Amino acid sequence: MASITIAPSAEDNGLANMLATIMRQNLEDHPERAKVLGHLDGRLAIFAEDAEVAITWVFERGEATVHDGIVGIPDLTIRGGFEPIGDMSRMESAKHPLLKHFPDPRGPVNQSMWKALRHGQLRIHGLPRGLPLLLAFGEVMQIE
Amino acid sequence: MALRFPSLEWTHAFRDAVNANAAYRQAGKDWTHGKVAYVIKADARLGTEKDMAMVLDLHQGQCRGAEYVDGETAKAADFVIVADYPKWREVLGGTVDPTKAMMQNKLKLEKGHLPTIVKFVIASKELVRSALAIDTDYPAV
Repeated sequence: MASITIAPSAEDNGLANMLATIMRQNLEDHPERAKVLGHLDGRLAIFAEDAEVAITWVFERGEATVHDGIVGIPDLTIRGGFEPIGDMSRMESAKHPLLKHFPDPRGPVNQSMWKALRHGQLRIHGLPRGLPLLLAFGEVMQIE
Repeated sequence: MALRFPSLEWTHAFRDAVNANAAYRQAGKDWTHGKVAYVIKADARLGTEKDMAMVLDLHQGQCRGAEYVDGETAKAADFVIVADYPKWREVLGGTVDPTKAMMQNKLKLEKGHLPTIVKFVIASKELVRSALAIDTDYPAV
């Protein structure tokens, strides 16, 4: 059973609280995603630059802990404006069952994300090595 | 004449502004998730000795009703968002985006299903943007 914890340092971090709440409520709504979370391993940092708030997720053997700020050396770092970062949970998955772990290139939110990536409003460091972590995190956080 | 914030009169004007906002009507057309309460913490500048709230009865892009109640009563709403007065002034006055305010811990969702709020993020933004149409007398911070 996966556990989700907000580290004491992150108790007053709004982004950390938002993401932890979404993760918990998503797992209640979609218990099958606990298996995906259980296999996550590594550090994922998110920095909403214009909101001046950063967090680091540490995934380890089914335990997910969110910390305030950048903690340790992240395997994957997502930086950008608060809007594309806030939209990440709304990214659309491909409809085809074999492609369901991948984003649907025709989804309107995904298209705005590609645009943000092209224009540097969203930057992802740590790819391609961190791609499995990114896709699995996206699957756990996705809102349907 | 400018309406004092917060008050019953302002709350009713907010309801009317939401219903006049075509962008909200479109973005919120699938909202069937119940009432939303905006709770303003007690503040001497407002002359409020207890938390007060505006509770909006939202349904399919319309605001069917709006009440101005105390914070305890507001807890019965399906979604309860809490902040102190200066933060509400920033958000409803259009100087801070509500998503950014949540990331900065200025607005707190104390009750409700956050994924639903995120799913309706455009409606949420239009909801607060509706307040810009109200001629508002915000007490000095």
